Amino acid sequence: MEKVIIAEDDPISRIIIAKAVESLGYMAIQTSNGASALELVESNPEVSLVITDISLPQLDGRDLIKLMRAKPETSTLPVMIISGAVAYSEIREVMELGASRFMPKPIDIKEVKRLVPLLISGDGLESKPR
Amino acid sequence: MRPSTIFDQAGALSRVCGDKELLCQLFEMLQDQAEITISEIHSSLGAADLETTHRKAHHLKGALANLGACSAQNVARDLELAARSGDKLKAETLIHILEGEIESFYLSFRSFQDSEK
Repeated sequence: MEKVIIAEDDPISRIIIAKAVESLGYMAIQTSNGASALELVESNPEVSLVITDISLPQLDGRDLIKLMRAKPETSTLPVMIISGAVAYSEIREVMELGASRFMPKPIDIKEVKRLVPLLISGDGLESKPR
Repeated sequence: MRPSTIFDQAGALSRVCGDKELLCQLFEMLQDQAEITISEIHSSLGAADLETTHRKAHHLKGALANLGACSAQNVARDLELAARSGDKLKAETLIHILEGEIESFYLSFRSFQDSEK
């Protein structure tokens, strides 16, 4: 079964995303910090997508993307960034770091259900990983 | 103009695809989370730690937004901005307003729960 890692320190947002991901038939692996998310990515070859908040304890979403893009095994893995911060400069920053897609909060289950299959298939990428 | 609805019921239900049971579960979680976070914000303001106030207000804002607590979300955002700009006095005022808005949201949500039973 394909796995989706959800890195979000707000439990309510995390549960909404996990419900949506599981309803699509994927396994949702949840974590509340970026360092744990990186470990999960590196130890699970079946991971098809990472969904992460920008603001996370230990390792934030920006650093998570940087570290993933720097390694050959994870350099092309799709990453969807979620955040309540909708400043254009911040969205541009994470997209330039190699995020595949940005989704604003509050979390909308319908939008998660729409985007997750697209990102896993490669059709929903707004930016190509470098 | 920012939305000022105490509880955006339609928006909250739409975001969970009409799953009222899930929405009520999230509401229970929010109550626990908000109580802890409000207490942490009071502590951080008491210690003049505006960085922690900013971070906690940001998280609370996101949680409130998921449940459609628009008015409370807006005050949490104002608190986040006040803390970020170092305005402790304004932040101290806003935390009290935020508590009132959250209570109003709770009342509105419980009314929704009761009316749908």
